[in-house]
Amino acid sequence: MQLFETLLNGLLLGGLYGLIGLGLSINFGTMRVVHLVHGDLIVLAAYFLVVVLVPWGLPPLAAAAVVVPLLFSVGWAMQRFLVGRSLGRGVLPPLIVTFGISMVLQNGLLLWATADARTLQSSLSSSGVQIGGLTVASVRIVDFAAGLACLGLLLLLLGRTALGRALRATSDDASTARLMGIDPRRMYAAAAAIAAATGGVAGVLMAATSTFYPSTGSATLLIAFEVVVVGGLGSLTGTFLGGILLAMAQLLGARLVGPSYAQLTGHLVVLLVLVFRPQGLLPRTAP
Amino acid sequence: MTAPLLRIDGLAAWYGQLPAVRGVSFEIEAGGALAVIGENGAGKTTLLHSICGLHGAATGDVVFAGEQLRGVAAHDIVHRGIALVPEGRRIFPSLSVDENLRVAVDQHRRHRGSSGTGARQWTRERVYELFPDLRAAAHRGGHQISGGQQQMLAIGRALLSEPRLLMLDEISLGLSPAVVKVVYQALAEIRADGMTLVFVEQDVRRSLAFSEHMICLHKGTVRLAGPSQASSLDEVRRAYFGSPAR
Amino acid sequence: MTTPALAGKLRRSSRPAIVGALVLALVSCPLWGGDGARSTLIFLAYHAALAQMWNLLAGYAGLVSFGQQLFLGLGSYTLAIGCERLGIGVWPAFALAAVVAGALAVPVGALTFRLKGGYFAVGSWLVAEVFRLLFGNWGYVNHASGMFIRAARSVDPWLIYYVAIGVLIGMVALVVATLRSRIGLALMAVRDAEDAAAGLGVHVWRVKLLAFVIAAAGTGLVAALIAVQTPFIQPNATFSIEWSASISFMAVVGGLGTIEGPIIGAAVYVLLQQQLGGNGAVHLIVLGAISVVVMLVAPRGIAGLVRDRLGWTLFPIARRAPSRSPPP
Repeated sequence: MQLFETLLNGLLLGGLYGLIGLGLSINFGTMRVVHLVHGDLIVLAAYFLVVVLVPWGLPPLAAAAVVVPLLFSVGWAMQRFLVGRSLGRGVLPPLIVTFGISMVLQNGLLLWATADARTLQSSLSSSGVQIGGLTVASVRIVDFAAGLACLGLLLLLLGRTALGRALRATSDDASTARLMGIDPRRMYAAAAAIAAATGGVAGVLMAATSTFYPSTGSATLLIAFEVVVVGGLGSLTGTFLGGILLAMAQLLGARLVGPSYAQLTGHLVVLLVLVFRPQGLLPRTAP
Repeated sequence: MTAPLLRIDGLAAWYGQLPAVRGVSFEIEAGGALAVIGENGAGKTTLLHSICGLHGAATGDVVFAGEQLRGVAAHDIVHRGIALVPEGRRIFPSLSVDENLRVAVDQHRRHRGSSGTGARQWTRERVYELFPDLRAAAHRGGHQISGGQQQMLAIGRALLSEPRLLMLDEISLGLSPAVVKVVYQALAEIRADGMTLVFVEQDVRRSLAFSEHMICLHKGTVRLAGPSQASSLDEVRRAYFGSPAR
Repeated sequence: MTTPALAGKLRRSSRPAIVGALVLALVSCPLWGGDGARSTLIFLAYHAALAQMWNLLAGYAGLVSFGQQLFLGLGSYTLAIGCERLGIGVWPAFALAAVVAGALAVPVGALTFRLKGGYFAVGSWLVAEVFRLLFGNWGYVNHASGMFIRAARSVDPWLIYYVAIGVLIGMVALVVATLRSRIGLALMAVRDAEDAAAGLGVHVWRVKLLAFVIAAAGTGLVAALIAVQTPFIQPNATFSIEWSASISFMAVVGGLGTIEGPIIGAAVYVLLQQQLGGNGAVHLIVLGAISVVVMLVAPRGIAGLVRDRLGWTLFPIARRAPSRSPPP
């Protein structure tokens, strides 16, 4: 019974993990860049919520509504002025640029907000809910619902809108997309902005779900990376499923081995996937 | 005499240190059809890419409807009225046939540039009329249709950008003669509608039959130019392979 | 003589002279330098060696790794375990550190090479994280509290100095020799156009793994040398991503794809260390910001700028197609 409870909590927490990975997946799908700032953007959103907005008196929901557009703009600006300029010259420049920005952000947060642990105090954080005899943390239900909703919105955006078609076309073949009248740089900026916005939602959820520090950005990036690799490059749904798998692995590790083994178990599962099924769960089917 | 729709003057393009196009010049009038022939590596694709902005490192003049296009970004050139059907079709594999067409329409809708030369504008419906095969495959993935259908799709896609000049790169490559015939019939209809065409074609006889004027490239320069029916096959062969003129 | 020919003659004869002068200055350090100069030079030598190894991977093999801290940790812990738990001498422990790191590089490389580009970068970081957590949970090495290294006090500092300089010179020589060999040609072919190289019969995977193993062994050796002078090592410090931050900084700012670049980058790093003092956060912000600016504005680093503007390089091993101007 305890096992099922852990698995259920893992499934729900997986909604947040999947959401964390969606942004990385969008960036990579469009630009072929592993965006190393993504984790720090999520943490930035969490800090902004907890250190600025909530102390100003905004209720968490309204604060979330402010954070997401803010992150959207930050993501857009970073792409337009920094990361965008590093594209087209191989793998190294975007990696160094995003890694450098990540260091500046993480340590900037450290200077500004100190290394104290932070979290969002709310009625959700400490309460639990009974589902069929199993106890789950309430906030994890919100995590799953929000993550699923974001996945749905993104799939709708990509599948049914003109912007979505243009993004997919650019992702397939940026050169031919230009022949359609699409400006790839605008697509990259749009993708980065959307990815950052999902990061904003993830940041709000993370603030409510756990404690965080400036250095959490690195751990979050690793989660995003693992989730994308396990899920399969190029599939948003796969990324979401990868999140569920990773969260389950982490919580099982904590329950079966010990609380400090959560991360390690997750890492080992990812490495196993890499050994036995390197293409991930749902690899992209199109050539 | 009216000004030409497209005037190329001294166009040169490099790949790093390697010159692929060296000092090419020609003109084409509105409604005309120009065939670009030459062996592999003669610079035909680079020429088209330099005109439509896909190839960045080019010098010389590309004047379209009185405007200098060299240095303008490729996606802007599309809005100004030049569309390219690229070599190898380059269909977007993760989009359906219909979505491939819609991508072009979406972008054109955003930039209401010059309208088409024909009496009617190009719409998806009109493209499906021109290529009935595509209508049946409308919801299939771009990578799931045959080579011939991909070629039709690539042409339809380019038409939906409402160009005044349509450039086509090796459209018969890899297609059976029956399919090529169908594609060229469609091309004839497009031409009858008033479209100006520049096309690169492997099949020399077909390209000379379909066009009014021709240029023959060899190692990046124009070896022979003129009305398609004027040169003898022997002259063409010599220019094609670069033998010295007799 | 015409100016280009004269300049060319000067360049050719000046290289051995410059290298010779530098080596002489380094070797004679006890004569002109005190403890301060010695420790600065040791610090510089270690960091230049680390940057040189990263350069071998990223600048020549096209492998951008953010996981070299794995081998740093392995090297330090091999020394610590060797000296403190197993009672081996310091010198055998150094060699063992290189061997352990190099050996582990084989399975790690085999696994992470399945990832390409940026995913390889983060994947290598992930593996380092796994080891950080493993060592942090391992009682034999005192978990995350860390281990004392008493062997630190037993070695003469000037001996350490000569070893450090020797290691740097040795690594430079190794890299130059490798790059001038057929393996080096294969490496650069893989870096520039992997598919084309494979088509020509280059065993891409093997060549990359060889570079990865060499870099790992070198990194492990330097780590052991650093550890012997540190009284205390901890998993969170020795397996930290901050190593990758400083190493990549040095290599990029100095100039990737050159031999002198990592050394120049290490010198810049040492200067920054001395200027910014101990505040970790400010130091890292400056490193990050400079890396970004250099990558966007002068992507070939300082050595690259010198090469482009003055056409001069200290260790000519670059194989490039001739530029428009005729060679000297």
